[in-house]
Amino acid sequence: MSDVSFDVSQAAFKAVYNRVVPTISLPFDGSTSVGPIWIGVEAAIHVESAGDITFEDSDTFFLKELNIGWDKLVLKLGFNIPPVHIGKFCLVRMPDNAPFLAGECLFEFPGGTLFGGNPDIGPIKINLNAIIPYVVSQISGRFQISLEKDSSFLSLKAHSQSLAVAPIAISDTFGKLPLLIQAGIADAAASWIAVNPQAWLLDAALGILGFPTLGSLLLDLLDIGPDVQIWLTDKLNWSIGIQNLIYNAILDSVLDKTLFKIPDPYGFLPTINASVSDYGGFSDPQPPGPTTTLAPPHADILNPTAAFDANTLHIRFDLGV
Amino acid sequence: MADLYAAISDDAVNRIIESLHVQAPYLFNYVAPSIKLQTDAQGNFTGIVDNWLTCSDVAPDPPAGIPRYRRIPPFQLPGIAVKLPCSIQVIEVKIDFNPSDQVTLPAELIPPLAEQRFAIEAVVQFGLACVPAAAVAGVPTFGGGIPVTQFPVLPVDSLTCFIVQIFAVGHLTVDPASQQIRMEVDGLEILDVAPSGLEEAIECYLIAMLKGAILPGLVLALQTVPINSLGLTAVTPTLTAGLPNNPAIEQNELRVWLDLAFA
Repeated sequence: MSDVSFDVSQAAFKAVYNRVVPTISLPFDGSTSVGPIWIGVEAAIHVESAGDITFEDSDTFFLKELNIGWDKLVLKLGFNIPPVHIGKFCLVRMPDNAPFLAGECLFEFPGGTLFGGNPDIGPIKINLNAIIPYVVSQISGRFQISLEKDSSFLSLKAHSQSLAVAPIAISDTFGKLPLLIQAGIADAAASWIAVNPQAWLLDAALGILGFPTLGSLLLDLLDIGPDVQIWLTDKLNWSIGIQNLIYNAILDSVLDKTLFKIPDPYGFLPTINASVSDYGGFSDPQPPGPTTTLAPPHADILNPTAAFDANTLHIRFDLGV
Repeated sequence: MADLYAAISDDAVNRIIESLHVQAPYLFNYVAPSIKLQTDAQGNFTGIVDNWLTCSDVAPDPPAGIPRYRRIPPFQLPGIAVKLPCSIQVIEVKIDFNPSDQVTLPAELIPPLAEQRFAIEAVVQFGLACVPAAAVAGVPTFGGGIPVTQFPVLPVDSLTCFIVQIFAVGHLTVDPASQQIRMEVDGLEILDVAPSGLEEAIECYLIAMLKGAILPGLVLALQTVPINSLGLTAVTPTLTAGLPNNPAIEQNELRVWLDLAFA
């Protein structure tokens, strides 16, 4: 039988863990190119709490769900549209039987090239903060506990053994996502037209490409399909690899957490600020002034152990007295 | 199920007490010191210093800067013109949680130790100053004619000593409203004091002192010690309800079950 025993319930352990696991906002970003599309993300998350914790045998516990709060989610898009070359042609030609300038071209379309930049449009940023409440992130992990001694404490720490970030899901029940994407694309198209000196060629070019507007061309390039949520989650998860970005963002923050700190040496009494006249027979050196500090009696902690069973964390130790 | 369970064995408590004897002897040695008169080379009185008289040496030496004794006031007897030095030394204290295996109870306390009870055995040594005949015959003088009444305490070089062995049994009580945990004495026995009437009277006084003055002020911090021991902060512990005994004294341990409210 150990000198001192503590048993901590799973619920209390979870409450303690939830105190140490929350993080500050952790920013991350990433991008990739998919054909003519360049797609990226700027985001920030923070760890809020442990959703559910299950004790395993011996010294590990499984964190079924780590609750993540999203602070920022911005989609970045760039478009490399194939260049469209439009040659010269006559817009207004005199009739062949005209009394003068018969058959001459009065106004010639000069021709030109559109979409020769890299990227041609973008990067544009579409703020998706409005759908943050509908972003579902599921993170689980297995942690190992250990008792570690430093100068003045015996600390029970939880070390990350493995961390699994599931693909994110978006449950946009209010249908905000299509509008956000369409509005962002429309703004980008309008901006491009506003600043591009060759934009007056656009109608001709779009006629060649078979699109009524630049916005419709961009949306076609994105190949969004009927379900915007599926498209976005596919791009975030599989094109950008947002799971890895999240993993790297939170790994350092959840890697090692100190849950309990047992004073070691363990003090039996508090430090006493004493008036020297109230005491006698001081062991040398004698107190120099009228007051002195009496160091607390203490003992080293020996043979500490920490282990889980089905629903309890058992901490045991002896006192070196 | 409770959020937190904590237990300590009686063996550990007794080893802690032994360690405290070495590390903090002032917890066990209470002295009303006598005085020593200081003189110069010509024998003229120059002043006084404390003379910490005890019946037993405090050994081993305490750690550096730690005192051996805690000062208590000298006592006074009617008809004696000066206060008297004394010492009270707790030589040994042993505690026993049910079932009894550390303390052998005297027959008067009806062993074996009952369930959910603790026993305490204490050996206490008292030292009292013998009043010299001169102190009761007129006003004696010291140090070349200084009346003894001028001194704060009688100057002596030794004490008259005797040892008392005390046994007590008791249990823990919990105030339902404040949840304060206290010790309550069920029985007390002082060994080998004669005549028996004197023994009964002393035991009666001791129980009255314990119940009326000492124990009511002694609240066991069984809720906060486990919390502090684990380094938890901003937590409000309460005794877990619905258990047959909480705190409990069983299987040689003092046990407590707590529910925790995290702020």
